[in-house]
Amino acid sequence: MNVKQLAVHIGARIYSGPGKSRDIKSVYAGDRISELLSAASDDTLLVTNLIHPQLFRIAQLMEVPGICLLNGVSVEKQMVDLAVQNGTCVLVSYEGMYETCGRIWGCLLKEESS
Amino acid sequence: MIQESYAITGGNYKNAGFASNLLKTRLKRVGIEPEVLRKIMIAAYEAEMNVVIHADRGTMRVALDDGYLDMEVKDEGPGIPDIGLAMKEGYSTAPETARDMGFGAGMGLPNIKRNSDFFRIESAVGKGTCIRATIQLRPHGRQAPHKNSISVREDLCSGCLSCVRACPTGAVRVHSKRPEILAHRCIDCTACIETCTSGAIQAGSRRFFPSRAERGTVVVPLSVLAQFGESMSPRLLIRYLKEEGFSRVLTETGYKDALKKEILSTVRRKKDTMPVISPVCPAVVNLVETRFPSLIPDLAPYMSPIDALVFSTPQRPLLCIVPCPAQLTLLRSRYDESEVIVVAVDVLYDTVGKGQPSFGQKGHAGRKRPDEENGKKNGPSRQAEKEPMHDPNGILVVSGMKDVVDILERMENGCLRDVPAVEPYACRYGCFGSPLLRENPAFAIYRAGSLEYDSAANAAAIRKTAPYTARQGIRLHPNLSEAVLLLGKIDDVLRTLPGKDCGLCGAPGCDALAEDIVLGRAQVTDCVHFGGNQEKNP
Repeated sequence: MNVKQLAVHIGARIYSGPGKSRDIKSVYAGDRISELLSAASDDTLLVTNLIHPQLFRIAQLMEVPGICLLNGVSVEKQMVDLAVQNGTCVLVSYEGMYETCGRIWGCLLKEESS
Repeated sequence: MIQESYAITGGNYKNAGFASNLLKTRLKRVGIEPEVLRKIMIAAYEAEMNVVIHADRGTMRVALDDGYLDMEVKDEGPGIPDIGLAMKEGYSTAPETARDMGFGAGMGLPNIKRNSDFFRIESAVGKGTCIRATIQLRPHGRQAPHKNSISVREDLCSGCLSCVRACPTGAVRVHSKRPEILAHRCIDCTACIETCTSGAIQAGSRRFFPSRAERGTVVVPLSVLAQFGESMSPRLLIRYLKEEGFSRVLTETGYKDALKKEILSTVRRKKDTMPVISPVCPAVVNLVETRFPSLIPDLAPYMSPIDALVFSTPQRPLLCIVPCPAQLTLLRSRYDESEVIVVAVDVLYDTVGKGQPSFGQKGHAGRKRPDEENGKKNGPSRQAEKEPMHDPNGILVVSGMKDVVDILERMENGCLRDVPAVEPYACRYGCFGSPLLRENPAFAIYRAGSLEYDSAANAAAIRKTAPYTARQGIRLHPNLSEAVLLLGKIDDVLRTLPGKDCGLCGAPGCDALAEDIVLGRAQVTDCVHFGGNQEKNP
């Protein structure tokens, strides 16, 4: 499933760039930079409460296709632009971590079984 | 040789990660494999952030040479009072401000170590810290560490150390209740899994069954077919798999017989009097390559039965359900995952009989005709299957890692010259005794005897095209002169150790502990005799 389809399925707002058609094969949710860093890859969606320039830095380093932020937070345009330029989509879910992860899980499961 | 140097400013969170990013752009231009680049980036970013969080200023120096990348991150900062503690996962001294930003998980240093092939840290309190990490650029090259299929779950380990003693190649270490398997030594035999009572050592597997669309031909060894004892005979299991959408179910028995025939004719052709070693068990082949390289000429150059079966079956994708980590590793390394899907036997336990209420009935229906099943049994290896420890052709069948090692040691000493051939199995009772299997091996062998298999006409022993080669140990350091220096250090450390080889430190012997200490895997204080020693020689 690509980033854009996933965003539509979980009802998240999406700031997309050229990366929106990249495929997601795994998802990692967490709030610690080290964990996100070691889980990140070029087909991993990161789900996190963090909003910090360093988050976008690791996305850039690991060429992550998408970052999903939570609770409908607003993000500085500057940060989003930087991420989008580097090919990372920024998703903003209106739900918390638990609900969002549940929805993503459901989507990916449905895709796998179909 | 490329050399780069980047300055890092402490406390500057806005530009942190900048050096790593510059490095990445440079390395991308060199054309480094993505998987390796990933490891480098994790190590570089973590090291850089350590400077930003803890120190005033620092530099990252990177040297790229043929085959490896050397990274040195040096800082001027408070230093680390207890390196052992700092290396522990979850331990962090990061300030509250850094934690709020998601740092300070206490994973930084362990992350660097995990992602580098060589790691060293030196620190002086009040002065600063220096981290050196080396990463091999060609992990699939000759010198690369071997892949293996045995994995460890640290949380389950009880620290009993029996795996350290059981491993025939000294590949297991347990330092502070954390078992670690050194991939370059591991031969994927099952000795450690067998002896582990806590379940911390397992064989890694893709734990799901392929979807119906992916199901075509399936390879199920006889030892796996015989796993569902009373409720399902091997023949019923074959029928069940066919009902589940597999078009053909193949088993390796024919190939095993063919290999045995070929071994016997090799014995007749062989000029010297040393026994021929049958390559029937891939774990033992690995053992010979690792620990008994002088016996390599005696290994018959054929594929193992499973390998030969997969090789001569043209259908793709092919699913293989294997009973042991050695076969898992062998097939996975030889074939692409999209062509040959290799899974460990646990998938069958998870699938067969679950949510299948009609199963028991089928089992009964099957048991109604035992006469038919037992009626015609004159397959060539029937006798051998029933009593795997005895072979009518005078082949010495040996099973269980301890006994195999003993026999190979005797061969190395030039004994056993009157034995024509040796058929060694890493697991007791041959493949039926793999610890991944749940059925009592004796009963499984009994069950397997009831299977009327098709001794396929085309089953033949297949010659290996690539020769056996002694497995190279991993170099202490990719750079030869550094490696020699490290070797000297290991000797120095070894001289301070008691030399009792008691194994209580979690390494199999004092020399292994000395290597671990120098490579940062362990500390001198891990040695239980250390304190006493110091008192005697102040």
